[in-house]
Amino acid sequence: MTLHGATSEPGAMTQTSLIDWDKVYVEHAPRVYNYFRFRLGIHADIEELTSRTFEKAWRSRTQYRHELAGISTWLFKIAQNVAIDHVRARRNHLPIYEALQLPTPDTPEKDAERGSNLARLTALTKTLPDRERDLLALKYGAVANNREIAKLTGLSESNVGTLLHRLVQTLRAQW
Amino acid sequence: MNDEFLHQIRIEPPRRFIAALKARLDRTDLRRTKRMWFRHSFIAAAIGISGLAVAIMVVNLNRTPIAGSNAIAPPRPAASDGYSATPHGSSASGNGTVGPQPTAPSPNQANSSVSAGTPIKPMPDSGVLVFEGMRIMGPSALAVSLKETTRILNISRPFTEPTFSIADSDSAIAALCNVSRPIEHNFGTFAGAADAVGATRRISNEELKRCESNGVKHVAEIKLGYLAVVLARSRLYPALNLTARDLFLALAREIPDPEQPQRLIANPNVTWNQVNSALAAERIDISGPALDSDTVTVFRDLIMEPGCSTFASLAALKEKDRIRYDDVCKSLRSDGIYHGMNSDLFGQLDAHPESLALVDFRYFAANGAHLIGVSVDEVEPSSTALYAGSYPGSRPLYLYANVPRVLVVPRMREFVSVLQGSIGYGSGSSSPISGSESDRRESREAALNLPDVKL
Repeated sequence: MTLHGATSEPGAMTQTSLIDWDKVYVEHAPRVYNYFRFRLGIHADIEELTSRTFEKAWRSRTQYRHELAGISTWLFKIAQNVAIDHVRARRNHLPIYEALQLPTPDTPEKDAERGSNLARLTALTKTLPDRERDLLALKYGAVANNREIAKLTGLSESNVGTLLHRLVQTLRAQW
Repeated sequence: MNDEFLHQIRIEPPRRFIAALKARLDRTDLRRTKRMWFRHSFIAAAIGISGLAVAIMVVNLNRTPIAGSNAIAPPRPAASDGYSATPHGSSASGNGTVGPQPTAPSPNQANSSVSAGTPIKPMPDSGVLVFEGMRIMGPSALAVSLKETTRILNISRPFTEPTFSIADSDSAIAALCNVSRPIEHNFGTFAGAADAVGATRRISNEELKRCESNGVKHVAEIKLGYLAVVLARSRLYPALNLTARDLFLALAREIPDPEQPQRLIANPNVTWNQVNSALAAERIDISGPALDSDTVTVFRDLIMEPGCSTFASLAALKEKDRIRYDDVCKSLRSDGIYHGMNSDLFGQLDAHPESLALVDFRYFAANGAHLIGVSVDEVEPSSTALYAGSYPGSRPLYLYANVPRVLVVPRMREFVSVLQGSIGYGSGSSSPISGSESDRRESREAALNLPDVKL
């Protein structure tokens, strides 16, 4: 994440005021949005969860300390917490069929193809533990690299790579 | 299933949602700013009142003679300092004023008083401190996307619509590079710089060097998409192949005289075999939008001009007399061979095998069930040909941004990013078509990071 003119002066306000928050939004909104799609597979709530993440981040951004965590890490930590809260609240009635209701990115044909692929993926991953679903969402939804994922999940970088490799193999076998 | 497959499940969030959320976040900022403003105002008022109270107290103390004391007044400044002594030589004059009273100010004081009372003038336009609104130049087809971008940015907070001047790629890039000489063009004269420009070709090395020597040291390139037009006929009839030269000879207002190619004559061609003996003896009949429409402008630039340039005498005119060249190469005939569209276009094309229609690529792609595209120089109009750059009726559309201006033009970075995302949307005819998926990914990155162009 680029910090325009960031200095080493102490003080969170000084640091955060130098960040181009418009750019942060433009760059991260699609990543956070897709993170929730992969993580929860429920279109109906994706916009709400993305909004909640950014609203939380925006409210607390003056407290953000870039020397402690990169903006991606900070933002996805908030997104993870939002996802956890959401899963806790809805654990017993997760309507998988809602995954079929997806937004329209390109052509209707492409959209239908992506929609059905996500629905299938959601069905396959619903039995996986939360941690594995989170790994998949961070890797393929948020397009985070293994180092970022390691920071966000508390796993080692090599462990992240191994787990993801196994996960994809398992999914491929079941596809 | 592999990494690529999983990545492809990602989608772009709906733009409506992205814009609305941004607007909400901006409003949060505004509310916070207002709260902060009230808080700061309150603190300032409290400090002001306290200060005033202390000042009044001090004044009162000074005005109250200390009983039994022989207070000695401090020395007065001399009259030559610009201050007169109080009439009675007393520090407490008794009229409520404290300290010396001004008389005629000294020249220095006069200056300072003038400067203090004169509003600070903005610095002369150094290109750094004075913001006059974003200036953009480029093909007219960019206007639709610019309007869409302005509309989206206005959702969150008021956004000044950029000044947009229609210009061809040469003029637009020259303006970006801050060339001071006036640039003569059909549409007017341009002399100033532009913050960002659209071009239907890549910037050249020479132009980049000129930019650098003129102080525009960082230029970013974003491939926005494509401009494309199609000549189409009814699917009831076989496909047709024409060359850009055939189309120029069929539609230009003036063409070179076959007997004396140096001489221009009013276009006499009414059948295709007059244009090219290899073609059928069918009537030339082409319908299309108004001559000043974006579609026709793109057609002039992408088909007519290249067709015109196949004549050596006309190609040479480009260097000698650019205005005349544009006039000859881009003027469509007005004798009825090219005419407006029937409201029932498909019916018209079905009923008349010789009828062709000039449409923009998006319309053509959406009506593939009725229309078949005319191949130009043996290339069929298709997305694949368009992305590969082989279809003559299409050109990539690039945006070049003067990167340092991003630091001084409010919301310019956001503008570039939203503009890139707006390509392919909007309802205007001949608005640009978005590129392939990989193109879009690359241009999104470029719009975010604005890296220097690499040729």
